[in-house]
Amino acid sequence: MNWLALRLLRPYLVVATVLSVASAAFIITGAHLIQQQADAHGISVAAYAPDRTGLCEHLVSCLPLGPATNVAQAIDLVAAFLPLLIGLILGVPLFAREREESTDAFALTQSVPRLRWLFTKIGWALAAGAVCTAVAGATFRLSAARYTLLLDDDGYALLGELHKSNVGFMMMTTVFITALAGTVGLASGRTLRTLVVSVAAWPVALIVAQLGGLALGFLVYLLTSWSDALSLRFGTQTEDETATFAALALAAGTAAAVLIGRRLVTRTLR
Amino acid sequence: MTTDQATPALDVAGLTHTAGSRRVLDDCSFAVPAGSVTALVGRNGAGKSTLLRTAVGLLRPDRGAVRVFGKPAGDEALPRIGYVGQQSPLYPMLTVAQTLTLGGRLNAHWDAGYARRLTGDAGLLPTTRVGSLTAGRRSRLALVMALAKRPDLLVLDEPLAPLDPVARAEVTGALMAGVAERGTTVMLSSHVVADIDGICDHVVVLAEGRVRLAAEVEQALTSHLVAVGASRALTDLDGGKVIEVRAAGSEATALIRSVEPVAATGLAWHRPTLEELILGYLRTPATQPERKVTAA
Repeated sequence: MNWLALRLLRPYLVVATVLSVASAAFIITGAHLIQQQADAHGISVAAYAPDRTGLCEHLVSCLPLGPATNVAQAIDLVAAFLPLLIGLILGVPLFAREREESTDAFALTQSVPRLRWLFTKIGWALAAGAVCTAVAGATFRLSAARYTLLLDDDGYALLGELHKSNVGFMMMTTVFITALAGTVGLASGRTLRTLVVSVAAWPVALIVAQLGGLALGFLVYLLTSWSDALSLRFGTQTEDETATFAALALAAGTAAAVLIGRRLVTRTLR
Repeated sequence: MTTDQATPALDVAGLTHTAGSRRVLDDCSFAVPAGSVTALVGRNGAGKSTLLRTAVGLLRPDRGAVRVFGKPAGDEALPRIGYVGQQSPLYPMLTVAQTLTLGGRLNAHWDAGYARRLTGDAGLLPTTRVGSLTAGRRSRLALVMALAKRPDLLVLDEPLAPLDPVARAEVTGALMAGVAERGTTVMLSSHVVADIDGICDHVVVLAEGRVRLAAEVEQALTSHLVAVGASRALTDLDGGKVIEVRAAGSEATALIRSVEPVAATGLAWHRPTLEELILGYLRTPATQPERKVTAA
């Protein structure tokens, strides 16, 4: 089943890998260009990052106008939408295409348990999505996140919420979207319908993850209230910690999506 | 794998399945004896594919049960079932050789040598992509995949539909040779009576989701008669079972469930052909009450 799952995933895996590597290359090149421009204008980015302190004031971009700002905005866009894109590429055709072409009838009538078909396919897709996003996410975090933090625009500030400059959150966004699209594809059996539903569910999922993350953080704070040191630690969470809790909420959503998929397979099939 | 001849290869009991508001299968019950070749016949939309998908575990019915060699249809029964679905779904991006390799990976009892021989006989080149095969050749490959699994029960959903007459004869020959070699039980669906005439020993007629007839072919032919004569004479028949009456002017033809001619004047009697028998059941609305005729 592994061979079949990987063979069917291959074209999408190639596209996702190319996208991930190309994004990483763009981020590295862009970061280099921004640094050059900042150096030419005598701007020390480290003085403003990560919270726009120092001379970087509201409504004034800390980055030199022109290529540096444009590239930083483009990198922010890549970081915000790449997890979604990779999730869609791997998740939408995962089961929807099989059901659309009725090839599931072939796979499901061979001498292997049906749940193995489900878990093998979704397992490889989730792993591939996590790795692809991790590569681009880590590149972004290490080389360019500090520049995008300096973009002073409400729109770009909102974009920042889509990636939170956090590799774990970006990975989990991809993993969740892959699982969600896979499950929707399993239920609907239509590629286009799966795509539309998955894209529509993405912002909702992020809001729920945000709220879920806050709730989880609060729960941890309450559970550690017996200890002054721990409650102080979780009572004042850093952005990374908030992002990690949101990623945990997405992980819970992923588990729920996979369980729904399992239920679909066992309820419709024998 | 051994096949216990006393246990039915397929035992369908009270199968009911609804799709939306439409009842696709309605309380279907019949058994397919081990080693038999059974034809499932019905019009388009009669529920044949749904029934076969339920039999191989691809669908969970609303009510009823399907047992394969005594065990519930599902994962446990899968190694004993070879299934070819309508349109012969196979992965189009794989080559013929890759498809055979896949069969080997997914089936413990895969007979690679037999698969190679069958693909060779079918003229399928190993390097050809499945997506570029004609419907007929893809159907042949799907049949090879099902046969090389060495199943005890072969379930074929309209396997001959996409084939030209020559290919039909070839596939039927290959199928029957495979069946004869191992005593495999076959259940195949069709809406073309000519396709199954001469190859099946049992028949199940499905109409509007209900089983209208499930019997051994020879027994069914022996227990029915066709009466031809004046419409008036046919309407006078009572007792026994008139399955169907078709009038053409003042003359009429009736299919009657009776071993011997019924006492009625002006009627000519003959044993029905398989086509007459099946068409008689297919043309009768499932809800029509059966009329009785008395045996002479």
